[in-house]
Amino acid sequence: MPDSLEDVLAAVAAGEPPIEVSGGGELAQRLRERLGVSGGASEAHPRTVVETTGTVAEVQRALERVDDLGTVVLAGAPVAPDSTIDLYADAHVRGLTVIAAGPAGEARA
Amino acid sequence: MDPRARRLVTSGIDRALAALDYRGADLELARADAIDSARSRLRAVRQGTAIVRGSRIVVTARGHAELRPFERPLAGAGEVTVEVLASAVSAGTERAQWLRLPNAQLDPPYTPGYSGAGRVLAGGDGGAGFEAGSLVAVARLPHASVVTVPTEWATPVPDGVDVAEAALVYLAIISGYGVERAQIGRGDPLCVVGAGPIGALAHRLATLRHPGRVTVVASSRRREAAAREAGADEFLTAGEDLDHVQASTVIEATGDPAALSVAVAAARPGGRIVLLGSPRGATPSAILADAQSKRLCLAGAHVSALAVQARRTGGDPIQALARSFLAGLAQGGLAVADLAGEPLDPREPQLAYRRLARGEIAAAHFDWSRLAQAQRAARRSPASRPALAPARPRLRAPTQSRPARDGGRRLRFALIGCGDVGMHNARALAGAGNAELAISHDPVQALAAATAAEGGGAVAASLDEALDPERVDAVCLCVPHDLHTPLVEAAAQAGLQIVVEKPLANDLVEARRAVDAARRAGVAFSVCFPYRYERPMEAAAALARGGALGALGGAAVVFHADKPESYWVGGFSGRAHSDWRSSRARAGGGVLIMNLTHYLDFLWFVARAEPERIAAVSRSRPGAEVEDSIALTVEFRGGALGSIVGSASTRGAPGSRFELWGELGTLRLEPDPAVYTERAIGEVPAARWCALPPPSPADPRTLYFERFAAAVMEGRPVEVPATDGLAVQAFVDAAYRAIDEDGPVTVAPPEASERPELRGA
Repeated sequence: MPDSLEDVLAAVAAGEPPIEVSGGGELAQRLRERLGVSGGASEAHPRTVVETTGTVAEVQRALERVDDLGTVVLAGAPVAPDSTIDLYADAHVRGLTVIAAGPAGEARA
Repeated sequence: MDPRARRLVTSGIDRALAALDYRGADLELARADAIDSARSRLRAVRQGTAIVRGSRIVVTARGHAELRPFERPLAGAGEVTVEVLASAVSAGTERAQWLRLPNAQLDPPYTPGYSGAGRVLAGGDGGAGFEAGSLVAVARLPHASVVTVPTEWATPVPDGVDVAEAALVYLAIISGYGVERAQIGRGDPLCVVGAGPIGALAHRLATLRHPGRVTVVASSRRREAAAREAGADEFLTAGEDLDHVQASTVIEATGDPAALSVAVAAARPGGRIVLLGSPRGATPSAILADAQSKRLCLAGAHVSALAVQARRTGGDPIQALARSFLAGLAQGGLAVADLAGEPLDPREPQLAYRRLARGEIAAAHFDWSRLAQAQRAARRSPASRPALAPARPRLRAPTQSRPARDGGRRLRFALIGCGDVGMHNARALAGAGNAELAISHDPVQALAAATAAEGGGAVAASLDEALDPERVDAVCLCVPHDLHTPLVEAAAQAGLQIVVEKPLANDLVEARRAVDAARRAGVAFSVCFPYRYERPMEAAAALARGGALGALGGAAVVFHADKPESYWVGGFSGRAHSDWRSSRARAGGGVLIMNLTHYLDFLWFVARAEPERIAAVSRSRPGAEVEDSIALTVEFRGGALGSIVGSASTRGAPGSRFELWGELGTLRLEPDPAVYTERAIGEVPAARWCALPPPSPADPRTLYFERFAAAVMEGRPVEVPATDGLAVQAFVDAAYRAIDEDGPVTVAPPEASERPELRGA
């Protein structure tokens, strides 16, 4: 659980609704409560996705899910450093804003 | 169109194109062009306009680009037709496309290009605010000489703005969007990663927003001066320590995934990184992890997102960025001449892209004013014949001016030696307009009588009578090789101008003696290499001298003959019985000196190729003194490599081969003479095989004698000097030495007097 839940919420404020929170952990649940959003992928293309798992696969999925010009808030721990991620098709071409708002520290294995 | 109808139309087009001699890949490209042209014509008919014909760059296959004709309808409602004067090269992206780097893999055929500027040719609905002839910058423009685009893609160019600079408009829109996404505050420290056109434009546009300290990071220091000129306070290379930069905003403009780690290192915690360069590959997740640890914000800035923004806001952010850029140029606050870069010739796109791929071009634009108006922008009726690239480009035959056979002065020749080649030369002289066969002489008087009957003139019973300067002006020596030098000396002593049938002599020592004798006597001296006057060979030499090959890379010669046994005792015709051809002492050698000498001369005549080192092996027939087949490996001065193989007993005598190639092109002289070059030279289209002119109907020997006679009578140097024959003799001598010494030999450079063209003597 990050100490900086408020930081994540501040980052989310930079985006626009509708908001989707990915992941099923405690952080995700607390964020959903605070943001008043339900679980699961309800919107076809949310304007903001808050990614809480910190895995490369879920970060990639969040980039794909979010609408053009949308915002992805990375609320989880830093991703594992031994993989790759495609920043071209979504983050670059579709003009996304990716905000790192999670805790610094160890990456997820 | 339903698939069945499409197949029917396609097969009909293919049949028509096949009838016009299109084949293979050419047919596929021509089909695509024909369909594109038909669509343009259909639109023109529907909207009641003419069509405009121009040229565009097409990447037709991997590593292959050419300029091809195309057509577009003139502007309809809401459109403007622009005659392009300059189209900007986006060095990073177009290089990536050419190299097929990740995320930049377009399938050929495609027309590359980004933006340009030119003159308004026509505007639909009354011009839509654009006056004919006025300058406009056009975003999203392919590398083409003419375009018809929606009016919102065009932006008026203010007075005083250079057209090549205005052509950067789309790159400026891309960069300007990146600067917008950077949200730069006054006084904020800024870092730009990448100093290519996009990075440099982003840096210069960002400077207009009054950032604080500006740091530019690049892969090398090549562009440091330009960056500092544009206001950079600090210039670093990617390997240097970046921790001190602490930029609030970093604009990553390289597109290199690894460069994102540079951007992360240069950003202060909580800072913002704009992804302006298109990543060419997957990004290591470790970089994203670092960005997370620093709580950075990554903002994508691809121009396609602007269209989404325009749809959502109802504005035209693209036009606004274009106007802002052009105003900056007009007001002098923005300097981009260095980014407009060097002008490239659009007729040579393959060369341009290969240079770009090799990193030789930092910034450039295609200069379409180099094209003739008919190629650039020509109005046509939609009912006119469609413009297609020729199926088989062919160089037209130049007119060879020849002297008339009137009552004018003629150079009178004595023909000494009336065997095989003597008869050929007698006939050639008989056809010459400014030369004539006056006397024939041969120890076998019947042979002399035969050449006189064929070529005209009298028969001389003795050599002294034949070399009488009262009766003849010149001599043509067609005797066994060992007799060349003694007869040259006799003719020179008589003050006669001299032609000797190739080779110059039977060996190099004798050849030098002959040249010295003529020089001392002050008479013209030429070796008969008549095939230089074949039209394909003349065209090849002109193209090579015009830069079609660039630096010579190599040469390949394969000569085949199937000489019958009777050749060795009477030549091909059997007219003169003698076995001198099989004697090393008399002939000097076999197939090399007898036949391949023409090719050795071509190497010099066409490509100025001089041997530096030669290795050789040969084989002779059992009991023969001279070689029947030979293989040479040659290193020419300048580094080109050559392979020269000849055989006098290739059964069936398949056609010979002769090819020359260099860094920019290839000449195929045998079979089917043709050129392929990346340069646009005269009528030769770049990057397409183009047939050389067909042989002249005139006998090349006749042309040789006419040019020799004209030079002598006008007091000019002869076109085929004996020094050229001497160089061939040195080549032959070195090859035989290599065989005798069983190892490679070095060929000494010719004396200044032996190569006046090269040595400036």
